Amino acid sequence: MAKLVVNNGETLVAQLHLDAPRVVIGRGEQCQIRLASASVSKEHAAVLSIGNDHILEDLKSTNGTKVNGASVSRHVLQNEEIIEIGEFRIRYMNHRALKDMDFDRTMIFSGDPNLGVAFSEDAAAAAANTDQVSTARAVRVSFPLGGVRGLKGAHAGKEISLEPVLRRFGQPGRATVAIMRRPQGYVLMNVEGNGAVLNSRNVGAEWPMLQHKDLIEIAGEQYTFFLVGK
Amino acid sequence: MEVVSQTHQGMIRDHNEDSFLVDESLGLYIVADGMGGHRAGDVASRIAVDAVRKRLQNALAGSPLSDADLALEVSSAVEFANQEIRSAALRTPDQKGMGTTIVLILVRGGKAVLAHVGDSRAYRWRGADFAKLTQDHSLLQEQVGAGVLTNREAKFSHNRNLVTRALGVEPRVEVEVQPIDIRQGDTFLLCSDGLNTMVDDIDIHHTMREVGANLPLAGRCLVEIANDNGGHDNVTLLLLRVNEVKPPEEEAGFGRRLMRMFGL
Repeated sequence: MAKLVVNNGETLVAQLHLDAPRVVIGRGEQCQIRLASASVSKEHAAVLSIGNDHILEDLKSTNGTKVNGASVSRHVLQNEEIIEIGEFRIRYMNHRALKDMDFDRTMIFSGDPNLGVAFSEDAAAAAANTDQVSTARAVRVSFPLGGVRGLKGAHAGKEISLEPVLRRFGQPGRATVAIMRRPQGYVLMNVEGNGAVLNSRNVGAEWPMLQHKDLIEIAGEQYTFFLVGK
Repeated sequence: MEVVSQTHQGMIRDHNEDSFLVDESLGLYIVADGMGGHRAGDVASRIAVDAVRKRLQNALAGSPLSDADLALEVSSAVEFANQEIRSAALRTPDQKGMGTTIVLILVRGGKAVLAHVGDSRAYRWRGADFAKLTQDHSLLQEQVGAGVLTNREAKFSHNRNLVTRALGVEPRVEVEVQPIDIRQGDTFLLCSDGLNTMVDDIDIHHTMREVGANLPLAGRCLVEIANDNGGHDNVTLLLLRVNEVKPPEEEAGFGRRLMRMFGL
């Protein structure tokens, strides 16, 4: 069960389990979490429960809403995040909302998705521009980064970053190789034909790991591989 | 049709609940992603692909069907699979509550039908054009559709694992069926969410653009990338490349030849 824990300095002000579809935080009497302070708007922010998510929305408050120090208008809360409203600090606690991808198995959601609750006016406009949900998260930033320098052929004298997950070199339709970015480093593979040569050796069906200063040849082109920071 | 299939349990799960089917004589290609305790997920996804194949085998045995009838047959085959899973669950208490997603393409001559339930997906490459052909039946997709979350915010949602439609859950299931045109050179990808929750659409597209010329390699790369990114789920994919589109007349001709054989 998710909950909010409200503190003012060292003083515990309130605790609330998030079992309602919509919880309003503010100075007004009708708010589920009442924060009696001039720095808090009458209806300052709301927390919506949708499936496993709790979505914090600033209700166009005068002094704004922050999460972990950054101003937000709408934010999908993550376990242990701190919401700041005026002088109050509100801790969000939910072990089903870990920042890392959840390991939960696919489950069937039945019942009211609670999509009818009030949302900010620009929400519908935003939805009109978005019809595809892409849920994958970029983890590649933590993989080693490298590149190649062209020695001969199409990219001679040029330096090419290997930031993308895969990059192809050679003569498309005839003889190409790809360099793939992986957690341990980069690997080389034949794509079309069997023409890849690494340090004068045929690559064949292998995916050899590239080392700093390796020499790659394909279809008359030559490259040296480098790792950034070496 | 050039067909590549790949399935992997991923880096976290101890078994694989996905099932797939490649039946080139029927022109039927299916991916199903099962769910349920006591290993019932694999049972549900296997029942689904078998039931759809069995039903379509019978339905397509006669003379060629019109586009509308083809779509109807696909829909009723998936509904049949829904009932088969429910009956199996009633017989075996351990399998109570099992379910599965499904995405399938049926190719008949120059015609094709795409159908899905749940969050298994279909993508298509046509020349430089990349299109996602299915909308997930998931809470997250509904949230984005309703404007509750933007696509960017969806990456931080914890609802990625909640599907709003699945086979085996309710007595009736709403199957999303769409007739699609196929052209020579088209490449289709059918996949379980273990691919697209681990690999961004942009990277799926990028991988196909860079190494798609070698279809088996592309399939292998996609699975490796999903696992490199954490491999939190089973991943199953089918890659289909249309090498030639059979003119519909040929099929009709075959039907006529068949009728002649039986003296009709």
